[in-house]
Amino acid sequence: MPLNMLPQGFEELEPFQAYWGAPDTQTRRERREAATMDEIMAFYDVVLPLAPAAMKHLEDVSLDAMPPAEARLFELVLALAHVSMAVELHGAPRAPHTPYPHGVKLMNGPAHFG
Amino acid sequence: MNEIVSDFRASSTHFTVAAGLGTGPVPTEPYRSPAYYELEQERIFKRAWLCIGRVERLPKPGSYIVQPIEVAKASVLITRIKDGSIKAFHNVCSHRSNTLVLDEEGTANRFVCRYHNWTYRNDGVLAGVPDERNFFGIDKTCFGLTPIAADIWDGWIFVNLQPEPEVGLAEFLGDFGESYRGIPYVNADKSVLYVSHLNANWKVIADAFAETYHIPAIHPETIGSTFASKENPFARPISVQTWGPHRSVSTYGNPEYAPPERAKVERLAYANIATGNVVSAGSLDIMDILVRHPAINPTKSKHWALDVNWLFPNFQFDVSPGGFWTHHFWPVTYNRTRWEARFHIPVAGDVWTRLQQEHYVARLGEILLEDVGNTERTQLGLESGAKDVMPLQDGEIMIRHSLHHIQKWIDADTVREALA
Repeated sequence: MPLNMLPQGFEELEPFQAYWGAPDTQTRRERREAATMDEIMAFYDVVLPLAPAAMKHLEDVSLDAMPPAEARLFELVLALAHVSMAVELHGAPRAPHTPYPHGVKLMNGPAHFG
Repeated sequence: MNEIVSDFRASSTHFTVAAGLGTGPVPTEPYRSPAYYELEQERIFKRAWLCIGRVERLPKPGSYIVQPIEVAKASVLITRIKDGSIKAFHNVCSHRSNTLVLDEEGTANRFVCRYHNWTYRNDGVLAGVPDERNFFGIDKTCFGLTPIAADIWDGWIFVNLQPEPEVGLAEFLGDFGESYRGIPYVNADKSVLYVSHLNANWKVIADAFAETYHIPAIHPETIGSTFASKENPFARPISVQTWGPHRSVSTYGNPEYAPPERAKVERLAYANIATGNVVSAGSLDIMDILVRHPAINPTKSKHWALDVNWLFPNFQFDVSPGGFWTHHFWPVTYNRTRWEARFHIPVAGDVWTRLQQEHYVARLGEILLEDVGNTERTQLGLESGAKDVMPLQDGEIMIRHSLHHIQKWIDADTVREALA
């Protein structure tokens, strides 16, 4: 199975795997902070419409034992949470008037995918 | 205790005068002076009880954590020993003073110094010295780890760097310790941790979390509309309490807050979960236990956002309808700080909860960054020497109270005098 394969119906998201599919919360933060607004919007515009269906697909899957394709899909939905900071809050890749690079790091993330 | 309620709808509130504090401008020198920082090192951080964190970080005998306390040039090794009690030591080998434990946390009943393999039990006893016979009659009982006074209050670990603390923890906490006893800390054993290194005096960053006056200005998009509303446009506090050097403010929350239409991901993330406000990470039914405690939201206001509880000198724990989180502001130099922000959230049981957590943690990162940028700019301004004083308004009472007690500890020759 190719490493970027997603569950049936979500193949359209596969091109985003390479950059936005990250295993933990801090890496997702860093990817969003390093992206351009064009890259962010390209991801947001394609992933957001499919996100409710993705969550529906995933809602009965255990977080402890998620099959690889489902885990990859969930990582993309989690990346959407970070991308939304840029799109829905700031209208820019990062918060205005904040330093970058900076010394704010998530050392321990949430359990599962954190 | 000094409990003050003031109507945020009145033309002005009256917390500062009622707390017995002055109303004049306060000096900026404590924020930029290396000499003042040295006084803080000796008179405050080497004399006060310092909160390290929750006992849940040491879940079983053998658990240990290492806490740097740069302001005292100390590394503190905290262990849970066989009988279940918690001990603290200088993380320094008795042989040539090398650092003993290099990990930040873990489980071990014995610690081996990397330099010459001297071995210690987790109760500090020196257990083994390689080639012991080539020393000159070494008495191992004299070369255990150097103990540091440690005590627990309501599940919080404190240490005191005085070789023999002048006052015990209960006396240091005073009535605060009585009022806040027995809070059920929901998800105390699970947390996410942000660590930030920033170029600002520790008080600049602590002050930033002690008032909500700044929120509509600095955080307009991230949290502005959750802490202010038309009836309280400048996010004035609901009530203030002071206990000796400790203090607490109950802050206003906009009961009308709902994610705006454009916040499509936020709406999706929160679609299946009822939470108290956006700085929440747990469901309302769980948190109900927490918010019934008499010390939490003491006026039981329906406009409540969160309480900021600031234990002297550098520790804050905040409680909201969504749970609790902590801030440790560890001074590194007079103008550098290591800031630990720990947010207690549950282990998600399903993808909906987990997505909401991701959105919550991502937004936290944005809020913290807004504060870092802000505090570093403040530090630059302070160090420019342009201003010798700063005027504080009534809603900034915790800053005034903090500066007052820092000066009091610096002036006092004994801790008891500082607490009087």
